[in-house]
Amino acid sequence: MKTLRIGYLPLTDAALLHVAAAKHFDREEGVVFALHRETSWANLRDKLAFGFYEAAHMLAPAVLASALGLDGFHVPMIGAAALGLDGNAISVSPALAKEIAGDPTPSAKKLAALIADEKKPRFAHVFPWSMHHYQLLLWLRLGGLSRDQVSLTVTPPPLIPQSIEGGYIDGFCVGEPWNTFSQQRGASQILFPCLALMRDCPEKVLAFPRRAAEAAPDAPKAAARALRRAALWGEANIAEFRQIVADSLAPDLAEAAVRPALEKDWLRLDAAATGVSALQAEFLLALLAFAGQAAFDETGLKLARAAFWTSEQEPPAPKILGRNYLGGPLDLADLPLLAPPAD
Amino acid sequence: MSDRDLRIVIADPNPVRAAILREGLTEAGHTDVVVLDSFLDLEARLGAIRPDIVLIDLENPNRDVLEQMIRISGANARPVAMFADVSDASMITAAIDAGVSAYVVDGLKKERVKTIVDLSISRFNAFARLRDELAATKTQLADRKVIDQAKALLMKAKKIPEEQAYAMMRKVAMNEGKKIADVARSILTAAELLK
Repeated sequence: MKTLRIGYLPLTDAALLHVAAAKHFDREEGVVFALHRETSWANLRDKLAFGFYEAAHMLAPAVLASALGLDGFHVPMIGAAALGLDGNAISVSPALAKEIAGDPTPSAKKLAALIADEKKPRFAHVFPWSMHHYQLLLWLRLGGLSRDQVSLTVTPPPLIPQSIEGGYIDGFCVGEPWNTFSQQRGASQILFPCLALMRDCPEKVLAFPRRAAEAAPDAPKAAARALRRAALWGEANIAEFRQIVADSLAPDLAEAAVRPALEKDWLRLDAAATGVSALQAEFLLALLAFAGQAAFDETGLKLARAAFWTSEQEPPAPKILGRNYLGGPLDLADLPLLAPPAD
Repeated sequence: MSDRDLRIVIADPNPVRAAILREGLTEAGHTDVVVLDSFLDLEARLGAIRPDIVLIDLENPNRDVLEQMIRISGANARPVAMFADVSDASMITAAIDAGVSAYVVDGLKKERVKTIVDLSISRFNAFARLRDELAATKTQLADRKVIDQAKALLMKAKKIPEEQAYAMMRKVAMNEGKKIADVARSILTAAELLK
């Protein structure tokens, strides 16, 4: 049986990897998941590229960036299965929360009003190509703010509480359990989960180096089946599923920090959420284009569709600001391009 | 620009390893070396220092901050893993094995980068060896202590001289394919239970 060395970051959405391994869905599908905890997306990318891992927990936009050659890295990745949908939140310092707390649009407008007479607020996300980055930009846009009116940086989630306490950042968009963890410590306050901006949004995928995956597609396909089975099992065994997720993040992260997002369903880890679609690939390209990182054109679309292995069971369509994404570039100044509100 | 002019930042929270690396760089003629003492607000910190090369340990989550920095127009830098054409693959693999990564401003000659990365790899490996040796020495000291204790116990219980007590333990260890220290630990555990 083929052993897959898989690197992952300590995040709630590494859940399905842990559940598949704990419940032996990996072995039943013909592969063995050997999970290795990592400390950065850069490490995951490098170790995947140089053969230290066969697969990695990876930001879906980073997979697309590699396929488009934007990262300058010459080792394109593919996404063989989704590890879930959604799961991020935007948090700000307690002082800023007093001024702007509220839903996305009112909070962004209040933030814009503050900026007029103060120094630029500084917000952190997690990687140049990340949903976190695009969700921050989308939120700012709702307040009429461009990226130049604030200061954006990257802060690794474990350093978030100290960074906000030290006044180095005023707010951030990260995945769970880090928003909850920082709020419980009193360092920050959650403004809203990113579900308020986007729903059924691709987040992390199980990535493989494209060359290896195309040469031997059986292993990525087996891994995808194992993840789907882990999610199906989780649907029927919610309590035990959550316990495995909490245990996978211990001891560094207390169970109390992990559970709230799971109980509030901030992230989807059900079977439908493990699917990958061409529409998701297109949505990701539209987001990179929205952030000014890529062009939304035929070449890009072709590469994007090839970078994500679509599944038989289609995942739900992404929604943005309450509307179904139907394809094409995102033009937020021209919302009619988006479909009418989903049911 | 001579080698001497390169400004090198060492981003490693392990002060001993950082000192070993700095010493190596100094010996190689690099005098403009800054060792970071904090990683908070790293982007602003590095922006002020304007290094030509950043050497960072692989376990450092701040690698992702550097990934962002190099994307900002004007920063003009890249991770050394990107130099990975075929000829460099072995160097990158060795760097990952040693646990070090480098970010380098564009335009530096490949050979100069390679010299510094090779030096970092060898110093990181030297540090790992030191750490292993230290761990081994600690284990040896601990082993010697339990062996002495077990020996004293046997000498007292069986009224035998020291060499004979040691020979007994060694024989049991050989017969059971164990280390003498493990046999000694078993004796101490048993003695504790029989007290």
